[in-house]
Amino acid sequence: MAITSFRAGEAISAGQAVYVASTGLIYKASALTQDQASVVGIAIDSGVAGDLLRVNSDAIYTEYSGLTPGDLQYLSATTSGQVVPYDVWASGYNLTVSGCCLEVIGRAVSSSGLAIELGKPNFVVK
Amino acid sequence: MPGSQQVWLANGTGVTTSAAQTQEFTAGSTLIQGQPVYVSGVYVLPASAASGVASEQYNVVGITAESATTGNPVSVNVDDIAVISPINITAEGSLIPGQYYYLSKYAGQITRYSTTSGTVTGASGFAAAVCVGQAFSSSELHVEIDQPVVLYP
Repeated sequence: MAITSFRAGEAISAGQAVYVASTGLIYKASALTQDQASVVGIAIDSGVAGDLLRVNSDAIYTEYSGLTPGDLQYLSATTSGQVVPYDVWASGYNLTVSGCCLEVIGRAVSSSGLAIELGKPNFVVK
Repeated sequence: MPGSQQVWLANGTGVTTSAAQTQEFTAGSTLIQGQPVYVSGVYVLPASAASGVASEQYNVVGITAESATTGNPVSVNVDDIAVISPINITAEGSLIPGQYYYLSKYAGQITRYSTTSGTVTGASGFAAAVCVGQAFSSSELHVEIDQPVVLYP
């Protein structure tokens, strides 16, 4: 099943990458720790803490813009929940003090569509 | 099309399909729902990552979606949300949301990488590290089976 419902632990916007905490609540994913970089999917809905949101874990998400078809997209090194191409991730990695996780979210199939195929976070030490 | 205008395909009627996420096999032994299994011919059996097992035993094909007795059909979840009971989890009573789970060295179970029972390493009696998915809740696993990583003591 590619679409799952979770309850939000904080305000989340559609299109943001999220992780699920041990409480079962979802938060915007962060590349700073492996737990928070263990993305479970892309939020389909926007909402605030307490709202039930749908999350796309393994299908094409079609609400982005400006993607380059064929490019892999990653969890941003600097901005929680943001999905970025590799060069943007690398620029953000260079700004970190001790490194961060490299987490594949998926591959762009059009300027607006991302085929979600989640990787496992690899912490890249600086 | 707006309203109730029907649209017909040139080569057939308006049939909708969706990609299957379960596969039917024949149970090679008594199986319970929620067990990782491997396939041998047409049969599925409880998978194990224990040291010394034949490599086919840690090539997980999916998680059983139902119980079955030997020789009977059993549906196996290959890429969906699987319900996992405490009896399917090594050394712990429930899944921890967000954590990745691996094939256990105990047949038909899954485990976190590190538990009171040990770690998924050659030194702890594992032949391979096989990630089978990520917990979405305390009882539900998002099945995403990785290729085995063979381990050495």
